Parts: sequence; structure tokens; C-alpha cells
Amino acid sequence: MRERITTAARGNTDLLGLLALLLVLLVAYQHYDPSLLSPASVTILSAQFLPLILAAAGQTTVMLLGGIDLSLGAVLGLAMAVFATYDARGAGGVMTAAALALCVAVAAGAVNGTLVAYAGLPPIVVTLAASFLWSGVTLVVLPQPGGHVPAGLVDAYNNGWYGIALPAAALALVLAVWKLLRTTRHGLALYAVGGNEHGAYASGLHTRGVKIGGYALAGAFTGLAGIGLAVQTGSADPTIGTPYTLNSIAASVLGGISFFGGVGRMRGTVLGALVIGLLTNLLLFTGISPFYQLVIQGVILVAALALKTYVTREAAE
Amino acid sequence: MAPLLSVEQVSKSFAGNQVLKEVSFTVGPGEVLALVGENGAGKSTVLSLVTGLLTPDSGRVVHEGAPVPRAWSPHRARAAGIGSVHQELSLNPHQSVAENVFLGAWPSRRGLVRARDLAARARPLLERVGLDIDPRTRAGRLPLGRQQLVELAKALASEPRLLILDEATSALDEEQVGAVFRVVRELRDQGGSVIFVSHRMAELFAVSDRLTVLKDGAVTATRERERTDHDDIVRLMVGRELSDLFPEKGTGTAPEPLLRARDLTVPGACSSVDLDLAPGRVVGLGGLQGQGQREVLRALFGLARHTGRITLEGRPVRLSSPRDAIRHRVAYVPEDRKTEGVHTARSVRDNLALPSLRTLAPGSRLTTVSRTAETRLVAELTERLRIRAASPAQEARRLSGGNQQKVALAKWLPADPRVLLLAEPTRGIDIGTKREIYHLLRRLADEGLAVLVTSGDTMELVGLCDEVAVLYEGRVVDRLAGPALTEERLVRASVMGTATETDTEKDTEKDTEADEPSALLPQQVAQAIDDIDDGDRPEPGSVAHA
Repeated sequence: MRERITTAARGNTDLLGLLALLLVLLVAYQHYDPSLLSPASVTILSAQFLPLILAAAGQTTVMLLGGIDLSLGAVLGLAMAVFATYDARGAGGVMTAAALALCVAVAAGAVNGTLVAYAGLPPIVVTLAASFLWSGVTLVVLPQPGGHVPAGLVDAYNNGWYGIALPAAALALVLAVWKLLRTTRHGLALYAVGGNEHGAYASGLHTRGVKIGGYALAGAFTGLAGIGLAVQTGSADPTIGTPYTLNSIAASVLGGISFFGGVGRMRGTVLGALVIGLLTNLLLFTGISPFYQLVIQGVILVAALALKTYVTREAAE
Repeated sequence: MAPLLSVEQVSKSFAGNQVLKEVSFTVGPGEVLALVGENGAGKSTVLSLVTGLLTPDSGRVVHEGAPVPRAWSPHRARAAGIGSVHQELSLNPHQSVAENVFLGAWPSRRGLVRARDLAARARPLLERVGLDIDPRTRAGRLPLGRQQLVELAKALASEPRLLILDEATSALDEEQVGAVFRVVRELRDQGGSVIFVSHRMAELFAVSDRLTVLKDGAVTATRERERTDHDDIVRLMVGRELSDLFPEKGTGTAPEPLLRARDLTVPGACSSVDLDLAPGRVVGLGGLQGQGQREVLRALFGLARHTGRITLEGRPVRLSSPRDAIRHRVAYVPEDRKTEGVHTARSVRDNLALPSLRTLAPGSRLTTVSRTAETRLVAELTERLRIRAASPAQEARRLSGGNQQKVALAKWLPADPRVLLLAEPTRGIDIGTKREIYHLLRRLADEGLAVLVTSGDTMELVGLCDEVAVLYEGRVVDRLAGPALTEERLVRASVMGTATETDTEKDTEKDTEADEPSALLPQQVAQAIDDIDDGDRPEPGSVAHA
């Protein structure tokens, strides 16, 4: 048992620092908001953080493949718009709307993946171009903020459903699915291609297929994030997705995902996203000027990353 | 008996450079074939055709009686029972050993790959290759030798009937090589076939049934092991006529050295290398590929962190960055000219002027570059090195390899260098331009430059250099000069990793009588094998994935 604990600790050393940072943030948060650990607070906070966590999960999937997704925010906006407008027209139930939004996001991801895999274009270029494309499509679907999400769903999502924090449950579900995926061939192939693409190809892996699948999976995560955001806010906004692109990258990097692919774990990303979310809220509480909030946020992120890089390099040598 | 694999008349060119010329050989079931040849003879290329990494321009590969389809790929080759271990590792350093062993073909139950199951299945394979490690270790944490054995286990995972080992023993110690041999013999006894490539002659003779010798992309001979010996094979590997390809060598005794390096050590690449570079002399660094030659040059140009004492004209200098080196008038023409040698997207003019911008910007006109001075400089260099470009405005990437190399060299000349370092100066260059470059280097040496060249081409080193230091796993194992500088001795020192003379005349620059024995005596061979096995291999763990 003891051995098992030490093994687990050793496997997670890279995350301990992040966990410590998160604890510090939580303690500070508690200071401003003593009701932090009440069920209502947990529900509302998880509702607020879920979209970022899901977006970061999508970004992580792409980054594990050695890529980067600059169109994430645009795809998120698109999924959100499709979900809210479809539901507004009342053509089908809310489930149909969600399924449609998800399909659109997965398709967008698959298109990105196909371009990266077959055209041989660098992911940063493909996804930058795609970000304009999907933003445009989003504006066609939904020219200005609006759309409709059933009020009951919004209420259940933000305030709990029979005492269950739905967003937290959704998060647990996603993590479980990821855990399962990692033990399938697809998950292993994802890491293999990201870690050493040529080696994976020489070993007989269908690297292009793996890439397309990975980008499509990222699209699924992004789509879920968009739906989550629509449910949280009760409507859709075609431009609200934009900040998620960079925030998701920040969360992934903070969580220990390598820019070069093949290294990192989803739990790190989740922690990273929580840190970013909490930090934003915390700075809001302090009541200092929003401009300085941004400055402080940037400084803390840079410091955390620099420290992490320094520590891991020391450990590697 | 019908061969398991036959390669028939295959040819392959890269960018107009023919690397394989109608190569044919066969491997029968229950046979071990060794492919022998110098660096760049085409061994790896022809094996890549078999494993589906490349497709031949002409000719065909017949596997188990049927020509392989047009869309041959590593995936199909593996499925058809061809396992391979290549020179460069194909492991994913971030995944576990077990995950790597089954890379791409993970055994799963109901779609799930269980870590415990994977480890249990990997264990017997690891035992077979003599590895006693936890299959859950990350592959990148293992020392290089063990990683190579994991590659072997990975190749065995698909239960191949044909196993290709391309330099699969290059990082292994004696015991580990023994494990590889055991696997090879096991496979042979079960009727499987093995193609074995190694630079270590002793290994080839220990395990192969037949040896096929490649030279310059063509097969020179195939010999039964019983009917051949080391000398015969070395002769087949080299044995080319030196025509007027090379200029006359320097005459007279060596002048006072200009650059003196003592104990030059680059961690993980070379150790205690002593070098003397003198004006008017062309010195070569020989040996097999990747024995530290490149790092010696990079250290002398300040690109690689190093320890040791370096003096220039008797004064100690620190070469900790390329800026330092350039200030001391050391110039470096790198191996990979497309990324380090020239700016491929810039014009010939820009490339040539780049290191001289300071002198081209006279003080009176502040820092603007004088276009007329630049034009003059470019015209002069183009003329002097006979660079064939459509115009000075032509992009460097549109030049032929030879002319790119000339640009990479020419750009240093206005700075009046005293020491010229060149890595693989003629790789991938046609023979005519090679000749021009050899003569140019000799002319520069005659003008008083000290020249240091690395090359994987033994003929080039023998033809061009006044003296060659042979590196083996980071150490200078032999120095050849004058009549002692022959291809046979150079190749022998490279593959044996020992001086070709048994006595201690290693460090003399003066040539001894060139009465070297025509055949190695048996005890000398045994001695050489012992030496290889004992101390010349890299320390396990000295090379690791960062």
C-alpha cells in the first residue's frame, strides 16, 4: 500500500507544484468567500469553469499530437451558435440541438485534422486560417448575440439538479471517458504519433488517420465546451469564444502538456484550467482595476511556467 | 530453395544523385545475410526499400515469391512478416517499454489495452533479447543500448519471418550483442531469415552465412563466409582508382601548428581529442559515422560546449560561441548546408555578403551597406570559386548542391579566415564539383589556411588530406599520414577501433615504413575483437533522450 502511494506520488511529481498553487488559490479564495465549500458554491463555480476545462481538454488532445489549435475559440462559438439557434427555432428537442452542435464541431475538427495530415501544412497555419473560416460561419448562423436555451436546463445546470452539480458530473464523465480512451489503441496511438511521428509511421501506424481522429476528438471536446457555455449563459454570442483559444493553450501548458507532443496528462490540464479560472475570479474579488488584474494574471502565469520549466529541467539533468 | 526475399535490379536516386544502381541480392529461408559497405554505400537505402519506407525508382523487391505491391508501406511490411530494427531509434521515449514493444499493434481485449496485460505479454519478448527491466519503465529513461534491445523486442513482437537488423548493435555491449546473436541464431534455426548490417567486422563474421558487399550504391560481390576473410571484404569495400580527382598534397615537413587543441572533450560525443592544425595542411577526421567527428568541429567553432585547452598561435583562447570563433578568424562550413550553411530562401548575393556586412558598411555612411562594394565583393567571390548561378539575385535553394556548398564556403573568405573547418564538404555533390572543391581547399591551404575536414568517405580523406585522425566512439584511435594513409588502413582503424600498428607509434606524425602486414594475423584479429568488446563502447547511459 505504502509502495503504491509512493509510486503514485512519483508519477505525479510534475503536478504537485500545480496542486500546491491551486491550494494557495483556494485558501485565498476562502478568505474572500467563506462559503466556497458549500454545495451551492461548488455548483456555480464548476458551472463557470466547465467550458474552459473542456476547451482545454480539446486543446490538450491536439497538443499531444504535436499540433496546436488556434481555431478552438471559433469552433466553440460555432457549436454554441448552432446549439442555441437550433433550439430557438423549436424544430426539435434540446438533445437534437446538442447532437447537431456536437456533430458540427467534430466535423470542423476533422477538417482541420485532414488539412494537417494530408496537405502537410503546419497546424498553426491551418488552424489560424480555420479560425477565420469558422468565425465567419458562426456569424452567418448567428449574426448577433441571441438564441435560446430552455430555462429549466439553465437553472438545473447553474443551480444544481436535485442537489447534483451537473457540471461537476459532466467533468467527471469526461475524465472517465478520457481514462478509458487512454487504454484503447486509439489513445495509445495518439501518444505514439505525438511522441515520435516517424517512429510511429515506421512501426506501421496509420499516422494520418490518428491525426484526423485526434483533431475530431478535440472538436468533440470543443463542441461540448460550446454547449456548456450556452447553457451557462442561457444564450449564445458569436464572439464569446475568442478568449478560449489562448486560455486553453495556457491551461494545457500550465498542466504540463508539451508543445512538441506526446507528453502530458489530462489531469494536469484540468488542474491548469482550474488555476486559471480561480485566479480570474480571485482577482475580481480583490476589486483592483481590471487592467491591473490582467497584468497580475500574466505575471503569475509566466512565473508559474518559468518555475515549472526550471524545476523539471533540474530534475531531468 | 526459393529465396524468401530477393531484391532485383533496384535503383534509387535522391535529387538527381543516384544512391543505388541496379542492386540485387537474395536471402533464403534459414539464412543470415550480411550487408557490408562504407558509409553512404547504400545499405540503409536498400533496406528502406524492403521495409516500405521508400519505393524504388526501378527494379523490384520480391517477397515470398510475389513482387511487393506499389503501395508497399511499413504497415504492410510488418503485416507480411518483415520485422526491422533501424539505425535511428523509432521508439517513443515518452511511452512505456511495453507500449513501445507493441507499438501500433497493441493487443486489446474488447477494445481496451490493459497495462498489466501489455506488460505480461512484453516480458517474454524482453527476456528473449536479454533485457531484465520493468516493462512499465518509460522507454526514454533507458540507456541507449537497452533502447536498441527494446527495438529488437518490438521487431520480434510481430513474429517476423524476415528480420532486418540495420546497425542494431551499434550501442550494445558484449553481453547485449551476445543476446542479439542468440535471437538471430534462434530465428535461423526456425527457418527464418535475417539481414544483418554492422560496421563491426567481427560481428559480421560471427553470425552471417553470406556477405554481400555494396560500394557506391552497387553490389561488388557476394561471398560465402567460409570462403572469405576480413581483408578480402575490406578490399571489396574500398578499391577505387584515384585519378586526378585530388590535387597534389602538401610537401615538406609540417610547419608550426596554428591551432592546437589538447584534451578536447564534448560530453557524450568525444573525449580527450588532441589536434594540431597547421597553415598549409589539410587534416581529416575519419571513422565511422557519428563517432564524434562533427562535435569536434562544432566545439572548435564554439557551437558545442567543450572542455580542454585550445591555443591559437600559442595563445590560449576560449571559443564559447560562434562569435568568439569568428573573431579569432575561424570559419565553419557545416554538414547540413540547407539549415546551417546557407539561407536557402535568400539570394546568392545576400548569402555571400552576410558575414561581411560590417566591412561593407563604411563608417562615413553610418550603417548602410554600400551596394557597390557588395556587388564588387559578390562578383569577386563568384569568380574565384566559380559559383554557377543564373544571377547574384538567384535564390540559394535553386542552386545545385555543389554550388550551395561553394556559397557556404565562399561567404567566409572575405573575413580572411586562418582556420577553416568543413563537415562533410562534398556530401551529395556530383563528382565534377567534388573535384573543384578538393582543388579549392588545397589552394586555400597553400595560401596559408589551416584546414580541418570530416568525411564519411574514406577515399576523400585519403586523397585530400595530409593527415587523418581516426575517431572511434569519441577517441582518436589512430593517426595516419604520408604513405601510411591508405584506404585499407583507414577503414580497418575505423571498424576495429584500434591503431593499425600493434606497437605504440600512434602519435607520431612522421611516417613509419609502410610495410604494414598484408593480412591480419589471427591473434591480432582476436586482439582487435577484444578491444572492441572491452573499452571502446559508450558508457551505457551516456546518451539519453533529453
